[in-house]
Amino acid sequence: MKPDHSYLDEAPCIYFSAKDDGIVVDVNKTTCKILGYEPEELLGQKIDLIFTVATRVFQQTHLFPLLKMQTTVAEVFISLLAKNKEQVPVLLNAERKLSNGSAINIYIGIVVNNRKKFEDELVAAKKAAEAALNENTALIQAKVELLAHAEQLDQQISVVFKQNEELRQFNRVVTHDLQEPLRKLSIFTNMLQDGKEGDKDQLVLQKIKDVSARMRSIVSGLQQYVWLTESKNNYREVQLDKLLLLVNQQLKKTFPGVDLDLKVEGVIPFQADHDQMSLLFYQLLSNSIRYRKEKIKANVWISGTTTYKNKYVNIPRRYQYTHYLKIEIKDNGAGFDPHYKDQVFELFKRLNVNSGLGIGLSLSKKVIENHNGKITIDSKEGEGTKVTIVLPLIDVENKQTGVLQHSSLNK
Amino acid sequence: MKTECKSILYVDDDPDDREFLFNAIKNINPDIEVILADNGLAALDYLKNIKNKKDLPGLIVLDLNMPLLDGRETLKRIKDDPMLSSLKIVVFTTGENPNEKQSFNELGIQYISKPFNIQFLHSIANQMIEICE
Repeated sequence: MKPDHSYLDEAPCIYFSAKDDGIVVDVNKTTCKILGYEPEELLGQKIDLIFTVATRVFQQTHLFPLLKMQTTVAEVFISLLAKNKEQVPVLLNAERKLSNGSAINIYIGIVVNNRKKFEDELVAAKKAAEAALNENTALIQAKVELLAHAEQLDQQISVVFKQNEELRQFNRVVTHDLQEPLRKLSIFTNMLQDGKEGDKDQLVLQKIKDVSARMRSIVSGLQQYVWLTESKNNYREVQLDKLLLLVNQQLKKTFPGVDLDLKVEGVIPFQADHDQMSLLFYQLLSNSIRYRKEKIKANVWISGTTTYKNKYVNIPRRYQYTHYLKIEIKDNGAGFDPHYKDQVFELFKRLNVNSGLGIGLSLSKKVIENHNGKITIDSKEGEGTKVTIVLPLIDVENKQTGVLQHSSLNK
Repeated sequence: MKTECKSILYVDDDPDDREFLFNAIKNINPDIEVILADNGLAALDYLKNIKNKKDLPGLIVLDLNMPLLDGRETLKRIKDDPMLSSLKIVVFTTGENPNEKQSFNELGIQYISKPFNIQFLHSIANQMIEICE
C-alpha cells in the first residue's frame, strides 16, 4: 500500500524537492511551518528563496555538482533562511532521481539547533581534558619535586637535630670542661704565690703541668671536631685491609709494646673519605687497646655485610630502600655498662676518671655522620664492646646512594 | 659555738676539689665527718645503705658534671626517694649558668660556683656548714 502523502507532510523533518533549474516542486508542511511560509508561497519558487547566501554559494559550488555526479549526498550541514530572515541550521541528505528523462533532487534534513551547543560543549570538554592532562603533568612534576624535597627535608631534619645536640654539647664544653682546668690553674698558681705549700711546691707544679696538658688536649680535640664538622668528604675507594695497615702503624707508636690481633672479613671496598676513615678506625681500635683485658694483647674482629635499609630516618611512612654497608668492630676487652651506650658519644664525656680524653667516640660519630651513616655501640661489662657502623654504599659516578658497585661485589 | 652539723656528703669526681673542700671543712671543724663519693651512683649507694634516719648526712654537696651518674640525675633520684627527699643539698659546680642557678634556687637548693682562688674556699666551707646546721 502506498503511504499517504500526508505522513511525509507531518513527518518531523525537513523535506523539499526541486528540479535542476532550482524550482521547488514539493515541500512538506513541517518545512513550511519551520520556515514560516505557506506551501503555495514556496511551490514553483526558486529554491534560493529558503537558502542563506552562504548556502546558495555552497549549493552551487559543492552540493549540486556533487549531487549530479554521485546522485547522493549525506550529512551536509547548511543553513536555511526562514521568512523572518532567521537562520535555521539543518543537517541535510539529498538524493537525485531521474524519471522520464528529467531529474528531481530530493532533500531531507533535520533541524540541528542544538548542534552548536553540543559542539561548544565538545570544545569545552576537549579543553578541560587538555587542561586536566596538563595539570596531571604538573602534578607528576610536583610529585617528583615533592619527593626530592622530602628527601632533602629528611636530611635537613637530621642536620638540625645534630646541630642542636652539638650546640648543647659545645655549651657544656665551654661552661664546664674548659672552665675546669682554667680554675685549677688559677688555684694552683695561687697556692704557689701564697708560698704556704713548702715541700709540696714540686707537686703543685706537676699538677699545673698536668692540667695545662689536659686543657691543651681538650682544645686540640675540639679543633679536630670542628675540622671534621667543616670538612668536605673527598670520596675515593677505601680498601679496609690496606687502610688498617696504616692505622696499625700509628697505633704501634701510641701503644708501644701492645700487640693488636686484628681479624678482618667480608668488608667490600667502599667509597668514603680516606682520612676520615683512618681517624675513625684509629679511634675505635685505640679504645679496644686502651680497655683491653690482657696486659699486652688486644683482640679485635672486624666483619662486613651489606644490608638494605630505609633511607628516610625522620619522616614517618616514607620508604626508599637503599644498600648499606654494615661493619662490626668487636673486641674482647673490659666493656662497660650498656646503660651508658648513648652517653659515650658525647664530647668529653667519660665513664670514669681513668678514661681517655672522651673525644674519640665523638670524632668517630662525626665521621660517620659526615658519611650519612649511623654508629651504635653495645657492650657488656667484662665481656667486650661491639661498635656497629652502617654506611650508605655510594656509586660516585652516578652520584647516587645505594647502588652496589658490581665490580666491587665480584672481587 | 657548738655545731649540730655532724656529717657532710661531698659528691665530686675531681680528686683535687675533693681534697680542697675536705681540708677546708676539717680546718673549720674537725668533728664534722666528711664523706666523699666520686660519682652519683656511689653517693646513692651510700645513702641507701643508711638504715637509721638520724645517721643521714646533714648536707649533701653535689657536683653537677660527673661520669656515670651526674649531679642533676642524682638530685632527681634523691628528691624522688621519700627517705632522702628532705635532705639539704648544695650544688657546687664549675662555671655559672644563671638559668640553671635560678632553677635550683626555685627548688630551694643553693647553687655555689667553685672558686678560682683557694682563699674563697674557707668562706664557702663556712657557708656550707651553716646550711648543714
